[in-house]
Amino acid sequence: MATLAQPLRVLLVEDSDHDARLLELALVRGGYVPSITRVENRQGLSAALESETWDVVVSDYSLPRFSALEALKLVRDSGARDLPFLVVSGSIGEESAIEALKAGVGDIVSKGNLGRLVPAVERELRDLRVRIERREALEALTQAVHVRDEFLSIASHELKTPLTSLQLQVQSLARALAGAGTGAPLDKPRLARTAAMITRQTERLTQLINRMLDISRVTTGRLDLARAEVDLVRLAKDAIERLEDSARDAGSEIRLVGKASVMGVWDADRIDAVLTNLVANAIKYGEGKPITIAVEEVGDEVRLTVRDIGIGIAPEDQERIFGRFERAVSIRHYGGFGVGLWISRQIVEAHGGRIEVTSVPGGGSSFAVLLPKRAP
Amino acid sequence: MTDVLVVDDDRDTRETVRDLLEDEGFSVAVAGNGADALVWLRANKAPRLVLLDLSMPLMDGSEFRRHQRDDPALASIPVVVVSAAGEMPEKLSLMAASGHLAKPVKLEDMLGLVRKFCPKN
Repeated sequence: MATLAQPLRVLLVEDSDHDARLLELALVRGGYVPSITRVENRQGLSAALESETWDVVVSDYSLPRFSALEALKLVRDSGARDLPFLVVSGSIGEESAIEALKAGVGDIVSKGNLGRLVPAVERELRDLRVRIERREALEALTQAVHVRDEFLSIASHELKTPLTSLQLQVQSLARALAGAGTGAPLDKPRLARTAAMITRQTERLTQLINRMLDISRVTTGRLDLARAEVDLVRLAKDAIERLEDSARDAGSEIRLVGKASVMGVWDADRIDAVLTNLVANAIKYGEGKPITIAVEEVGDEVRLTVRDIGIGIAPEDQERIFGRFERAVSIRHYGGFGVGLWISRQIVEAHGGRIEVTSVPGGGSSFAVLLPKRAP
Repeated sequence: MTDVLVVDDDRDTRETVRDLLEDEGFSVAVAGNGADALVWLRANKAPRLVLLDLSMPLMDGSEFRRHQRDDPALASIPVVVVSAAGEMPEKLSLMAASGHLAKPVKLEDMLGLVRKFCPKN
């Protein structure tokens, strides 16, 4: 039984007043509040399809110059591929019935047994809902797979970079040990240099892998914060030191301003990841101009700002860059993981805080992180 | 004259390759992206070989190659392409490079190619 007072927009293809009336009664008795538009021919049907949206089409099997099958074709051709189509018939032969069902008619109801009409309509509407859900699920799945594949491709590329140096260094050691090559002698300075480079690359790899794990943890809601009493200014200094070389290469000078120490209860590793991401971005997009990092206390919160005067971010991109694999500039031009800002936002929000960006194209960007000093 | 111009956006990779090649007796110059590489090539005598990373900021390997081939002064400099193996074969063949190395690069392969284009006199 249809639920009470269920509205139903019916497009009725029927030339008999009497039959139309009986049909309306059947629908009302079945719990529907039908608004019925009756058409009797091809033109009428076309016009109705074009002008409004319908929940169901009910058609007499044959009218003087029009048939249900022709009507069905018209409906499908008009683009309404999912619109349920039912046939009502006085007497329809078995073969015609089979032909109609094969052509895509949802059901055939006898005029002498209109009590079957409402159950047929209900079933058609239910089937439609299921079809649509399935289609949407498939689309979401396909999209998710696509996103995953892109992630894997980026990951593979990113991981190979430190691996390249690592492999070359190790192989060169092997060569020197084997007495091959005209290379420099295998003396302490050379060994020290090689060891330092290898350490550096393994650290890079570790960091990358941790980031990838974080992505997975964040998406499955398993980001458990390990809070402890931490000095944000100390974290900022560490991040700056770690990115020193990179900043120098880009020509950017980094200044740290604000209080000498700002304490809070946060997950040091995760906040460090956020700092690294913001400062690395400032270096990447900062065009070699000065970068300022400010740490201030604002009541029970702290505000950390990372400001550059580089290429800036267009207003339409400012929300998008926090998307999972988004970047305001194409992958082609600035290789590397675009997940930084997304993860950063997840981490900051897990702490009860927020990240905001203010930016003007050509005028640089300012990323502000507001963090409550302790768990809410 | 410079034997090899190493073009790669990753600093550690550039420095590692430079150190290793210099250890083997080659003279090396570096550039961090396609645009810088073109600038260097126009300002200096042609190297005997360019080791070209494909994905770099500002101007990547493909674009660099296009500019290089369009410039008669630079077109004949041999280029060995270094890819991170995500790149499609069609893209690589379009570049008509003199050789190809896949990351992570094997030292012997790289030395082999460098020696081929920079024979010791």
